[in-house]
Amino acid sequence: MQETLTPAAISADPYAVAAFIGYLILIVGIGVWAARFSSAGVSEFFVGGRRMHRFVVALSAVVSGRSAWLLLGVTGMAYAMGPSATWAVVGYIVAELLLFLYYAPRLRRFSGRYDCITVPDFFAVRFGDEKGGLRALLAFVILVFMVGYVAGQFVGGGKAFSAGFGMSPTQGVLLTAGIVLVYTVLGGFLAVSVTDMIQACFMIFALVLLPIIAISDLGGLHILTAQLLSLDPGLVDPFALSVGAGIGFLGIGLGSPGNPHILARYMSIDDPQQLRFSAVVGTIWNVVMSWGAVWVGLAGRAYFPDVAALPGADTESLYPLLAQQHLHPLLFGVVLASIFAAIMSTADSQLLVAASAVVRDVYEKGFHRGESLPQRRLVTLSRVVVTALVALAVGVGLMADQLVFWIVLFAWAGLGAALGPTSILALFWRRATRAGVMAGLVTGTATTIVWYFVPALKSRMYELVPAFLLALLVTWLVSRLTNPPSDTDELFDAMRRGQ
Amino acid sequence: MSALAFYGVLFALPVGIIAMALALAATQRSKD
Repeated sequence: MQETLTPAAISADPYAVAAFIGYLILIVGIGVWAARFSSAGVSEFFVGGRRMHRFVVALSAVVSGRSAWLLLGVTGMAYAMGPSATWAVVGYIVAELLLFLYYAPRLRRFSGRYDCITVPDFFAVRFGDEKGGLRALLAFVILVFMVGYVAGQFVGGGKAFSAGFGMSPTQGVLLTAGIVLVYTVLGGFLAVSVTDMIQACFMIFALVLLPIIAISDLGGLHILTAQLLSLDPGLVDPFALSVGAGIGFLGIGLGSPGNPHILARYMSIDDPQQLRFSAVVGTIWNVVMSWGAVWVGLAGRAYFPDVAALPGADTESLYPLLAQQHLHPLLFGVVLASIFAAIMSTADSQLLVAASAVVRDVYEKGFHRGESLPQRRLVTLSRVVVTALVALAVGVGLMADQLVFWIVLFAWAGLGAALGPTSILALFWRRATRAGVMAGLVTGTATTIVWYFVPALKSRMYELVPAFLLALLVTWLVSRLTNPPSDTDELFDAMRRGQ
Repeated sequence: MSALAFYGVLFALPVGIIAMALALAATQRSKD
């Protein structure tokens, strides 16, 4: 059967190219518009001066965490597994709802009171890190993971340009990096957040429209379910997965509280009370986008029962292929734009977090601790660092794609296991100590890597779940054995009341 | 059972999560 199948091809026509170029002009234009505001100071450049609107924060926080994995990976998983792929999205949606409502307000009030711009800033103040060891450890971990993460996004962008527009992957990487560089360098956090909001609209539009049209063209929902059932009963059974796989899928959500490019969004809102609104809007967006991706995968399986019919026999090519076959070329351009939206909205946020680790945590609070540096100088330096990090990420992406693969693989889980449990305890447990947090950071990162490389462990469960729990346990245990900061009551008061 | 699970996870679950978000946000508002 496979020998007789000719894989379908994806190619963009002039309408699609026009829609895509319109999208790029919009994104870069926002960067130019935001440049004036972002030049005021390092707080404006990295957290938007904590003046972000609740709607912008809601969408920016949600899409910063959703890379091309949602559009290409989840659609491919639903294609291969059926509705049991849904559990891969439930965990992070519920986790981010709880973060918006309970975690984010405490982090935002604390960071406003003590002028924390970065996540290491928060930890340094919370644990009285006078010597800077904790800050340096955090900055190092964030920098390594984030540069790898950004490189991974650029490589993904390169592949998408290559598949959609016939460019070479290298040209695609350079173009993706160039676009992100222009609007991030110029507009800083404001441009990144506003473009994230627009990219979220592109993504939700494409993920709602495509499955509705594809299922309607098929003849309706009953035809879809009948076809899936005839192919394999597992394709209509949402519980056709092992307990370990189910826990691992739900455990993906444990990564959200540890990824600093998501946390920076919470720190940027103008009024912490408005996070309630952001929680509802962000959850609606997360739910609609994620279930849309699952429906795309299910519809795709009905159209292409055999994976050999997909370009390169790759399930991740399903989303653009289905769009090309069922949408007007102009809307297909929107779908292509939505893939880049997912990639760029993640890369830009990660880039800013990496740059803030260099400028704020290493340069300002490390090399020039206790000094008052001119804000304009710091913003100029931030722009130089963003440019250098883009060049570094492009270099790593082009020359060391295996390295990128590993870093990206560990980034969500490694950061989630290291920063997730430690930040939760730092925000909610008075007895947490600096030594406990440092032990938790090391345990979370090390367990993630070890678990992945031991096949007997890896086959049982996604590494983030055990690494998160072990880091939580170690942070708790070491904290019990050491003394918390003497001003803990005052620090907790700042989390409850803010200014 | 299978049809119930299929439609439950693909339609009722997302609606349930949004309803939970609204309920939790409303609860927190009343605390403030």
